[in-house]
Amino acid sequence: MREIISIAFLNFKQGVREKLFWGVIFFFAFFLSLCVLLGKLSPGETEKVLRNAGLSGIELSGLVLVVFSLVLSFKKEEESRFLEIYLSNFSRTNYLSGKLIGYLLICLFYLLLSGLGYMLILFLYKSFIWQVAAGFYSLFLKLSILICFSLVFCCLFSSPIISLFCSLSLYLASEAAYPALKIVSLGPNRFRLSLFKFIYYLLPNMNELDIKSLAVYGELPSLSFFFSIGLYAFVYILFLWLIARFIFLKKEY
Amino acid sequence: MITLKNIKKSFGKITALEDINLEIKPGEVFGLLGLNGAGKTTLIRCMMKLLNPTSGEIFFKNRLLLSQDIQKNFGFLPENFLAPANLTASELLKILAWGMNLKASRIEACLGQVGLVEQKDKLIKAYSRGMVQRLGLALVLLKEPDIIILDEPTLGLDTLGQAQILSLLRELNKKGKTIFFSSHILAQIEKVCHRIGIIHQGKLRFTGNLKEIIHKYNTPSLEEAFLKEVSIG
Repeated sequence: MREIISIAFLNFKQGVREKLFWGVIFFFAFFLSLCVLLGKLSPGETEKVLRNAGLSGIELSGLVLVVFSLVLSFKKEEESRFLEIYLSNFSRTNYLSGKLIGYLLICLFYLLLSGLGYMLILFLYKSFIWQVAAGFYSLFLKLSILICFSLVFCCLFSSPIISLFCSLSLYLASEAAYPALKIVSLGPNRFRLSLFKFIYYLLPNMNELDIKSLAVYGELPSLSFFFSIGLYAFVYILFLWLIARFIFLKKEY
Repeated sequence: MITLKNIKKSFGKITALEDINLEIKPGEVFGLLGLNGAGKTTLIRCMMKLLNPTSGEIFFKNRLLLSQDIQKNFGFLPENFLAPANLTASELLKILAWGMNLKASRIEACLGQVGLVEQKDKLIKAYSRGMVQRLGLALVLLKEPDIIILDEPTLGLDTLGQAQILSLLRELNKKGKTIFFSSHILAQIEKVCHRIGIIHQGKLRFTGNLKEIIHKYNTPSLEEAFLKEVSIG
């Protein structure tokens, strides 16, 4: 356990000192100021626009941060041969677990910082409702699943470009899976419907995890829903971690 | 201490190592000599279990080498290693030492051994190539390994840096450490190694001490003997 914590902490420390991390924070601050402007341009809906656009901004910037930060730093560690130093001191399983926890911590820290900025703006514009805080929970779950997918792709492919491309494509596909299934179910083609159903169940159910739109309207699902999406994300992450571990144990460096 | 038996490593149709048989004795400094692309790094990576040999076996203390043996007893410095740029040496060593359950006093001792005490709180990105290499050695020494494996440890260093590292290797060997290092700089091998191995085109062409190779080729220097060895076949 000590080994995992030290790798996670090292990873976290490196991650939050990267220019990319602060670049994304800066991007989010810029986005937030645009949201304020957008809110002022929508009389009567200012509060909801501010809440909704702000949460979407956090998701978008978080997505950029976790995917780019993870893929680039993971590959950088391979190229700099620091990975070999790690592997001569720690087991591969511990290394991978430490990396995963480190990236989850980076994501959590980012959500904390951006969340504080977001809520401060909501306070200043008298738009704050406590339910928006619940939106962060679902954002964290979505980003955590994405982190795990990126980790699998990093273990699978030697090219960072392919890993980046696959991670972003997977995110878009899982976001689009539900609406796509709805559209396909209107048509007569049974084979296409079965195929889309398969894809829908295979990909993480981002649609179900997303409670942003409910949170901005101050409506929240039951506590059991929060528990079930947490469990769903945990099982999905565990499954992806096992795949990543399986690949990583066999990988040659 | 470490025995390699019939090690072969292929990457598709390319054979990087062929029928390597080698024994590294406890307490010796073994130098692996070879031209660029001869197979030195591949051999070291097989020894560190970073690559799986296509065939053959590696033994450690007369039993099959396990990953746990490496984590416990081996210190490894890869070729062209770079440390995380936005940390300080002190932070990096502290966190790793904590993870390995080592005493905090080891950090100062290692930094002292490689002469980085004064620079320990500087960010690694401000380090010169030589300082990064010395930090790498500090990482190797942190857990006080019995066996130290170094892949081209003096690559890219100036004359002073090279001399410092070689002197450190001699010092470590005096303390009983077994050292295996690869290089293509003959003078370094000549200075510190008890035994030499010459690898060429994936085959281990010679193992023995300096006198033996010079005697074998009847040449006045290791350089000439090496050139003769690699020019055959």
